[in-house]
Amino acid sequence: MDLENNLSLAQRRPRRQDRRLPKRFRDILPEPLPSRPIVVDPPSSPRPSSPIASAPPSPLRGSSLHLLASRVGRIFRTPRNIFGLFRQYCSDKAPSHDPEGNVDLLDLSDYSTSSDGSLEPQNNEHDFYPFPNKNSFLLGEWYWNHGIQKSRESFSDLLGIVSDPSFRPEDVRHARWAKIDAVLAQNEFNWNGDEHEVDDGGDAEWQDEDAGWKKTPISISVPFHNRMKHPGPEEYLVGDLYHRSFVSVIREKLASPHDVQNFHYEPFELTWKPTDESIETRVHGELYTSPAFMDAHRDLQNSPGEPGCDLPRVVVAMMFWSDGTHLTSFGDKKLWPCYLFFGNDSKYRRCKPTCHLCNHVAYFQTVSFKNSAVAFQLLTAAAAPGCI
Amino acid sequence: MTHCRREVMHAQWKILLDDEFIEAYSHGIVIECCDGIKRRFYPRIFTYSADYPEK
Repeated sequence: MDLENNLSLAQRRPRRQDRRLPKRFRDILPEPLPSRPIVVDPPSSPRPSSPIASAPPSPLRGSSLHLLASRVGRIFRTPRNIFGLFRQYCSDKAPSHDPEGNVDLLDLSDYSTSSDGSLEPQNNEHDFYPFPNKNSFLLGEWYWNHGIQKSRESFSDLLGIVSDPSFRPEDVRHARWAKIDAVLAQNEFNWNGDEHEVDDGGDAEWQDEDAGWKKTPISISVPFHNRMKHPGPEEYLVGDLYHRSFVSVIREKLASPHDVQNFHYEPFELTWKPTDESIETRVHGELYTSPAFMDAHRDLQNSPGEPGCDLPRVVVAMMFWSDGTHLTSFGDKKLWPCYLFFGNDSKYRRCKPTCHLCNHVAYFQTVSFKNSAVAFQLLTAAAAPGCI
Repeated sequence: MTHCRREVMHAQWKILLDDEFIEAYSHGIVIECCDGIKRRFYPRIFTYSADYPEK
């Protein structure tokens, strides 16, 4: 009774509860594909008794799935979802893992998950390194970043810091300012200096924060013209390549419980068949539904395999991507990173930065006239005719 | 100069595709997945989309 009194008059009015929106306003939310394959379809003799197996198998007769099935045995089909999409697997047993079974709407949308407790900024002491705590950081930031001249605005910023309820004088009293400034200056020096200085101070940074990074010197052979002073090929050191081992990246990826949950071990054919009568249509969109992946998977299953090993064999689809990246708005500092994505992940997850599915595996060195000893040699030798 | 660019790029990919990777490529690597099943993984390169620095 109380509840009813709290409601407004309009809300208390009796009305139809099952009214549907006009069709143009209706939105069908994405639905995961049915996970468990229920129909087992032998490739050579489709059983007419099974309702889905009785569907015309001719459009798929020559497909790579059937080629694969002819060797490994059976085709597994999932039932159709509301959009008429279904998956076809081909293996000797049902797929052991369904990466899309637990995908919900939040995983597909770009909705901010800041309410998620795990992503809340934690008041970690190390977040403010080299400052010991937040208040010292704020003061230090005020000191360095607010210009060299005092201004009214900067004064009010300072007042804002010290009058904040969370400001505690003991936080800043024991901070070792000289040391902090030294650390700050050192970082600046290392990263803004030229190549050699980066090597000196940068090594510790690479080794500490990004475990698994390696530094390998690159050497190339440069031929010199026979009319030059020193003809013939000569080895030159171009620089150092910072890179990670691909195998360790793969191991790290597959050992991470969060990533593996959505990792497709087996390719499948995605097919669209809106009604029972309509023709089956292949749907292309993901790498793990592509013919290239099916072919790679089939070749792998057909290969003799390791002696004495009967573990399931899985293709790890590596997709490399690299391009030059400018680091500054002014100046020509740039990097040439190489990224690695795994094609076993859905493209909808790969494109979400919050999923962290992009691995940087290398930073390429490029030859430029400015910093390369090789280029210098070439330039000085250019006096010889027909050298370059 | 083009020669150097190409050589540098190839030298770097030679470093990246090291013996460990070639071993994994041909014989696979056994990793125990989080669902407790051991699988043998074979890395395969599908795409390489890049603005070639060798040009």
